[in-house]
Amino acid sequence: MRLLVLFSGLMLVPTLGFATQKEVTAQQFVDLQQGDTVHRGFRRAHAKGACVAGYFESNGTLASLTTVPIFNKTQTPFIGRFSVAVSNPSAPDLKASVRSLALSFNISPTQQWRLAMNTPPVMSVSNIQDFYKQIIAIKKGPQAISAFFKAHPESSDFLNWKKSYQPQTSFALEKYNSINAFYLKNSQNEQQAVRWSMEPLGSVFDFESQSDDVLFEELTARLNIKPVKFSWVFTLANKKDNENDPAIQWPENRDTKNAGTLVITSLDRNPDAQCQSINFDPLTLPSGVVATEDSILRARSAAYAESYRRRAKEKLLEVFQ
Amino acid sequence: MSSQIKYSLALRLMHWAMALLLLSMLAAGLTMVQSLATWQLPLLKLHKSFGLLALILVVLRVVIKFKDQTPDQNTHIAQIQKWGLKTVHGLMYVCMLGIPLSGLSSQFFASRPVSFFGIFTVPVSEQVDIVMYALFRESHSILAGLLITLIVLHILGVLYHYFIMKENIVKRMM
Repeated sequence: MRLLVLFSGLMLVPTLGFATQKEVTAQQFVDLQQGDTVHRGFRRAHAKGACVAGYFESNGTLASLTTVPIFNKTQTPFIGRFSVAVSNPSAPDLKASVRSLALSFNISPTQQWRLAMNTPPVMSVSNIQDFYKQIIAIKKGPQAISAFFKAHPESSDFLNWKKSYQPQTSFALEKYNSINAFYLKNSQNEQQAVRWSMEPLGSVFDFESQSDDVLFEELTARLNIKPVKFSWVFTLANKKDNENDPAIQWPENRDTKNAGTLVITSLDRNPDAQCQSINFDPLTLPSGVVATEDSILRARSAAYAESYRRRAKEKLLEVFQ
Repeated sequence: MSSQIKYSLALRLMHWAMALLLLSMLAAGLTMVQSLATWQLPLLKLHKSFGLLALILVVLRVVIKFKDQTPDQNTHIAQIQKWGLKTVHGLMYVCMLGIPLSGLSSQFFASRPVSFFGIFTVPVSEQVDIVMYALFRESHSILAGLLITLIVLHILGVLYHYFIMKENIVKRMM
């Protein structure tokens, strides 16, 4: 009972700290993302997307670094979602500057893994307060955003990437990055900080369309012929790298491990397809993967939860209408 | 002041332990849905573990309450007050059971496994059901709001006894 009292008391401590700080809340963050027009029932960020399904074929390479069973030499099914970073679900695909791939591995009834990956390899800033200010600057226009970057030298890795980045003609040809680092934990309880990316294995495919949904149409046509594949590549941090700073790119010469092939076999553009119900909160982790102290990663859970709660409530109200 | 019979030790301990636990949980819940700070994640884990503990405790409390009947000490108050008292207490039990159950159910339908201090994990639905998630998630908040109101009424009731009826009923719980 004393332990109970102690722990309960401990839970109050952050509350007191919170009450005295003027920091951006999850609600303010999601308000900013959704903008002035609310698209009811849709995600507040990355509103436009379609569901995919397939399997991950592991080669066993990563099994010594983590206890997550999908990295044994085996195949594990997943469902996922390709999306573009827009708040309007009917915006043109090519309007978005960021493209994403999210995955959900239903490993067992007690082990779930959600992954949310984007085309940039790093964040432009290192903490959530600055990220909030950056979105405000983006909304204000080009002058505000260039002033913002000038005041934030940590954004140089992001800006260098942006300079060299060429949007591909297909979701299948982009590279998707975890951006934030995580720890892999093996059966000896040894931890290794990693980032990962899905590296495209496809080739250019002849497809023409003027449609607003060109990327999703292209993917449909492509999948009608053969599966879309990616290599799941992990980059291992060494002691010099700060795994808690999402804005800094780790040097090219870091060890990498190819864990296997992600094979996407089908696409479902139905707005009620299963993946549309999922909150791809990247802090939904199985044992064997642990969150770093990266403040932007840590902020994602509450922000995703707020966005999810809003659209879930709208879906619930739809049922009663 | 009239002499009062204390509640059994088990009930007294349960009352104060749960009072502290529930207040912490309400505070943690209201904080963690807003905060983007790095401690949000451990706080969320604690909230879920302690939520399961609260569920176990309230079931135990109901069992103890039925087993050792403390005689009715409110024979001297008006019928309408008795009625109000029973409603507040009854609803508090509804909240104490309903809040952890709705929280747990929301996580079940969102397919987010809930761990009990790393000792065991509650299994989740294979498929996410966003409408059922919303139903339980919103119930969780509505019941939490109701519980806060009931706690205020509960304390007002004690103060009413102390200042108006001139009896210190807190002694029964000490």
